[in-house]
Amino acid sequence: MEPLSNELDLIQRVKEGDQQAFLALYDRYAPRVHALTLRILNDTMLAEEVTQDTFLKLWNHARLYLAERGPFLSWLLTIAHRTALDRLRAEGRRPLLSDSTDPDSLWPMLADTNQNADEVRWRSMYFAMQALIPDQKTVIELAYYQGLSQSEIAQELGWPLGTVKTRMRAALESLRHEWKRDDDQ
Amino acid sequence: MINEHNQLQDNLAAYALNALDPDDIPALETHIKTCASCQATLTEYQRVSAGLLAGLPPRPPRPALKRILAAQLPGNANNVRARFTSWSLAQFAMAGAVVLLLGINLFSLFQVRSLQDQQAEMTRQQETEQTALSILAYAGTQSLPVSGEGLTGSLLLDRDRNAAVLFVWDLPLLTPNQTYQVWLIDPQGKRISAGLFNAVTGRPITIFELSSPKPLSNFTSMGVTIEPRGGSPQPTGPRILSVNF
Ligand SMILES: [Zn+2]
Repeated sequence: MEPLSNELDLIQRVKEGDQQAFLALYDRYAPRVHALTLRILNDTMLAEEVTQDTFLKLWNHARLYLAERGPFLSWLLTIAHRTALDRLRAEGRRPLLSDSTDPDSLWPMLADTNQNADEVRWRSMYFAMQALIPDQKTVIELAYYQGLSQSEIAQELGWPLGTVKTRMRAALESLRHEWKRDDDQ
Repeated sequence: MINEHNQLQDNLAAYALNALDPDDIPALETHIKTCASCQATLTEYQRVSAGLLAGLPPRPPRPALKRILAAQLPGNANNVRARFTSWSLAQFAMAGAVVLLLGINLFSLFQVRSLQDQQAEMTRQQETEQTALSILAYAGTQSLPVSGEGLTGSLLLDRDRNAAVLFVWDLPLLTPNQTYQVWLIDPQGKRISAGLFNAVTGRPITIFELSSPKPLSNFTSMGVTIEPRGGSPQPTGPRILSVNF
């Protein structure tokens, strides 16, 4: 894979209206954006529409990305995340608790094309999420991939609000612990 | 302070996941401002939550999606699917010019005025979209569900920068002598206008940036009513949307 400086160069060219650079960023990141929109919407058609909307937002607003604020992919996925959750709300869909769209075997099969530190850690978050105890995993799932607030989760699962709060914090603490473990390696 | 700090630890996790209930947000945000320990924890939680988005195994979309997307970029004649972002202001101006060239007799003056309104509305919405995107990228921005009869949408709320942007799906077009008006409601029930807007033909989503005369923290909810063109000093028409902060 090309070095990161090439990514910044592509973003700069998109800011200047370069369509080839835009399509190059699409080739590079569409599978990541689509993975997220599919995870949230669990429907190929809706997910593709939101993937498309996300990239159109990138095309129209690339100048709003500031490299000093963080990695480009995180910025793009934040937009995809919000767009997908808005769409989920608009569709009025019930929360999904299944995790069937995520074949666990997929990551290891992919060539490890990018060894930058962020990538390695992001990937470790996926496995850490899979390893959470079921109740903690469910709260993260409903909060982050389904856009529910703590009290909405309490209502959905019939748990006391305090239980939701405690489990959400325990889940995030566990993920944070994994994240920091990578620091020590 | 220590007591408050301990009590807010559970909320910090929810905040990083955008899952904190709206009522709990102001107290947490106030505390974070002066607590270095919470700031540090929040930064780590936010890294983790970014990792939850970026860590999913890649899933390539169908190859056709790239062609559809490429066709929507400016200068590509075969727009496969007209999505709202593909209607540039230039295209709208062109439509206006075509109407004039065809002769005003084809259209009543009334329709031309409506087109001009639409053009102004389109420009305003494009500017608003940029504001929305720029606040969207911040973790502190809240996205609240907005509801009304048969309508759905979201309100993006950035209290720190006193910015609020309303998104509504499939908002009906009004007659030219009507307008949508946004109201901010304080704890005493007093209503203050936060501006007027209209839907745009062909756009599935309507976007409006609220103009609040006072900090948003003075208000507890928002409503949208249908009012006569030019707006009203106090709401007179039916309320079609509302949200509690
Ligand atoms: Zn604190």
